[in-house]
Amino acid sequence: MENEEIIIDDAMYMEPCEPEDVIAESKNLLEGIDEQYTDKVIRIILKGQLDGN
Amino acid sequence: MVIKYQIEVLSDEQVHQGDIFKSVQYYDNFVEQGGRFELSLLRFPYSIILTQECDLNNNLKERKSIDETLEIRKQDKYLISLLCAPLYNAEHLFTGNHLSFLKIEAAKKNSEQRNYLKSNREPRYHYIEFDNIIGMVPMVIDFKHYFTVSLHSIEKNLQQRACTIKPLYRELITQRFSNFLSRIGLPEPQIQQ
Repeated sequence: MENEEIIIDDAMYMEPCEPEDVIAESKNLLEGIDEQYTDKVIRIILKGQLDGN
Repeated sequence: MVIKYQIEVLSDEQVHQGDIFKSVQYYDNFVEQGGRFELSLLRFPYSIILTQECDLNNNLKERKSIDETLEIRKQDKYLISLLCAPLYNAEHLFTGNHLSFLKIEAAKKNSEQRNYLKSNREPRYHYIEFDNIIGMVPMVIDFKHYFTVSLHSIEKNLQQRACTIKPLYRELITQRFSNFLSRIGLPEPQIQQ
């Protein structure tokens, strides 16, 4: 890992959606979720590649 | 009769005891293997800050008086994290589906249990009806689901503060929370065969 930076724009999905239900691919992913899921607790899984590996 | 909790909408830079924030995230798990990582977090629609007001106030005052250019800063009021608890939509909690997106089904409350809970006689829960200036539905704090969140991340998202519960009401909540935490669970009695 070169800059100790984590890139979280590789892939992302939200349970209980399937992985192919990718909502967005940007660093603003988390902001976009609220509009659809506002009234219950959700689990968000971010997947990515450590920079430099 | 259910007492309406008085709230205020603050825009200052301090996090307060009794602040209710939208979209607070709890970092649940992080795994990394061969450079690939997976970060799991829980996002709660609404959470209340339970950390004492004096701790929050003294921490901010101290940080404001610190010379940021110093390599080693003298800081006695440093806070690692804030104590929070989620607020669930009361109707969801009564029907037991408030954690349905986590694939968890909770016990459904019957009318007797609902009334018991709504009168705040159940130590685990705190039922709130808001003095409705911002359209918040009745909610229930589940003290068993308390968690921590970093002060830094909350301060970075002050615009997510929905409202603040006014003094006395907020103290009642934290007192009931501390009572819940300090309860003594006795072992189940052994049933004689």
